[in-house]
Amino acid sequence: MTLNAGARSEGKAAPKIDVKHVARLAMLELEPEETERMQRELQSILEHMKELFSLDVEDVEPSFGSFDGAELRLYPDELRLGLCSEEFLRSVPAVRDSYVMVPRAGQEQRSSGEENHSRRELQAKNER
Amino acid sequence: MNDDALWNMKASALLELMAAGEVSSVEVVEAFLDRISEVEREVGAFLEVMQEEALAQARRIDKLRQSGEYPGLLGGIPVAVKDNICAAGAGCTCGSRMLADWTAPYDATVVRALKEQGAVIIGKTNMDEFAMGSSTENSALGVTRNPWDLRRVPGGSSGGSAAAVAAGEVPLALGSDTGGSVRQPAAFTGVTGLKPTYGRVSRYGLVAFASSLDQIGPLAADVKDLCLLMDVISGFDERDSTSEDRPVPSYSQALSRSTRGLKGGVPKECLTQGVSPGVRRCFERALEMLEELGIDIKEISLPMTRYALDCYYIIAPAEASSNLSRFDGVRYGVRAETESFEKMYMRTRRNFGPEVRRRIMLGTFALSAGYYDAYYLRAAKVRTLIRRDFKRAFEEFDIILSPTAPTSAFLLGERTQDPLSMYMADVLTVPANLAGLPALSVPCGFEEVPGSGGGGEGEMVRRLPVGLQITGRPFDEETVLCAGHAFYQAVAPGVEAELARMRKGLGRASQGSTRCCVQGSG
Repeated sequence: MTLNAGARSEGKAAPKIDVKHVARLAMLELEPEETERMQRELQSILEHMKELFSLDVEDVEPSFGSFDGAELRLYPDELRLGLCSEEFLRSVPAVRDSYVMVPRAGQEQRSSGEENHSRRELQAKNER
Repeated sequence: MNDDALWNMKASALLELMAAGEVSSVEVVEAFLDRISEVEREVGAFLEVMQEEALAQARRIDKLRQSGEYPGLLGGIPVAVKDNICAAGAGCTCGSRMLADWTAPYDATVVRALKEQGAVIIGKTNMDEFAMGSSTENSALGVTRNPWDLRRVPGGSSGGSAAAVAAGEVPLALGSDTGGSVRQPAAFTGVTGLKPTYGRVSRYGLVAFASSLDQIGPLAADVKDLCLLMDVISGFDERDSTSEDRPVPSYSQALSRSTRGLKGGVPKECLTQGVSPGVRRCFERALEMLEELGIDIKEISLPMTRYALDCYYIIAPAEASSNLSRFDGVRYGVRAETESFEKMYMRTRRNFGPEVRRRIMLGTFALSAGYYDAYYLRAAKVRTLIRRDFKRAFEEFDIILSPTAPTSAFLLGERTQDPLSMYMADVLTVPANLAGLPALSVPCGFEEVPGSGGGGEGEMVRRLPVGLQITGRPFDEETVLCAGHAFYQAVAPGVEAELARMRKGLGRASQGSTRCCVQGSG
């Protein structure tokens, strides 16, 4: 991971957000005019957040939840009655012989970006 | 349309009437169904009304009562459920085109608990798409209007649930609160709403928005009714790994406790956040009333809460961007038919509305390589500082008081073009989510705003409800509810007289009057 975070903390302006790159990561298709609007809106939101960077949080532990020491628990791994697969398959847009059907994956032109590349491969793998 | 109509009554009163055999559950449910058809064209609170199922459940409850069996804590009482909480066999759209045709295959734990206690699920309510918004205007499936002024928003994202309770369409409703989505619409519509402590109420069956912040919460006309719902939905659930396994008190019984000697803190920061003069006046009057109730009030400082909104708008979108990646057209929801898998994924996700897309983008950015530390991790650290502020404050104080929202209900369309101004509506409510604390909104008065003016029914001023927010220690809903109840008793005569007047004014459109305040589709 490349970190330019250190430079950011001292910086005056919010970083320029690469909307097209982020949209690819998020698997969102943006229309040209939406790209422009998104850029403007996200930029103004980031500008608004600048105050956060005035805080010194160097030695602060992050909180990813609401409680100190709250532990997530798992329930016992034992067989019990639940919904049958037919009930869930009813929600699936395309089913054949109780398999979830999707268009063929991994056939697209490999264009830009490493992330996109690996992501597609991952999906292709998941599909098999 | 008289004041003693069944639909105008609270759940607690209806339960007494049914227990005494004076009315049946079928009569109660029919009264609310009639009320819904009378006012729904104006209010637009519901996405689905389950008339048949509701009446069938009501008949079951009546039979139980007739045969001398106990029908449950909420036996025969209609309850509306926000449309991001699963009820088996009903739609669960989350206000999104993405799930417009999806039917929930199972009951959320809270819905199951409601059914087990005899409640009648009467319908699913409108909301901002995937609970992202503060006005319900981000719903892709309909407009909900504030019953107090049909030109205005009901707040959000649980705007449908709040508007339904305010309009007398249902006595009780469930919402979900990620950054104020129960409390802020409660404040905007003059009803009470609670965000319970994180972990108090199971989230199993709630469509996830931001998992470390989401909590299901009740809405009702008063605190007593709110406690009826809390008594039913609270408690440990092994299906929610963040659910807390600890004893649940009877909230209804806690209401009789004395509030005398409680210590209330008023963060000095809370009145600097764009609070309108009318809201400020209501809040200051509320503090005087709380003092008359024997609550010892002092100013405190929660210096880190000024960063709460920024912190929230990094953490919540980050979690949302991850949670919403499941909407890929593969397993449920709509699917865009295309020749390739990736196109299908991308095209399908066009069904997300603008605010959802904006937040997915914001969250993806905050988690992306190069910005994770600067944004997400920093926000998570600031969250620690905010939690510390509260922890320190609760060493001395029992409750923390503030207005629920900086303003009363704004006009439809007023903030839709400026995301930041919409986000500001949450400035006073997000701290409780970041810290996982229980927080209640209870009506505390009215702010006067310019009315519709002009001839006919046009008036010069319109009175809009304002909410008082009471925040408590983790798992100390009892103190919060108890203080809220004592306070509400003091303001109830004024608030309920206004509420009755407002309710009377609704439903004229469906009776052939020309009153129509907002253009637009329902």
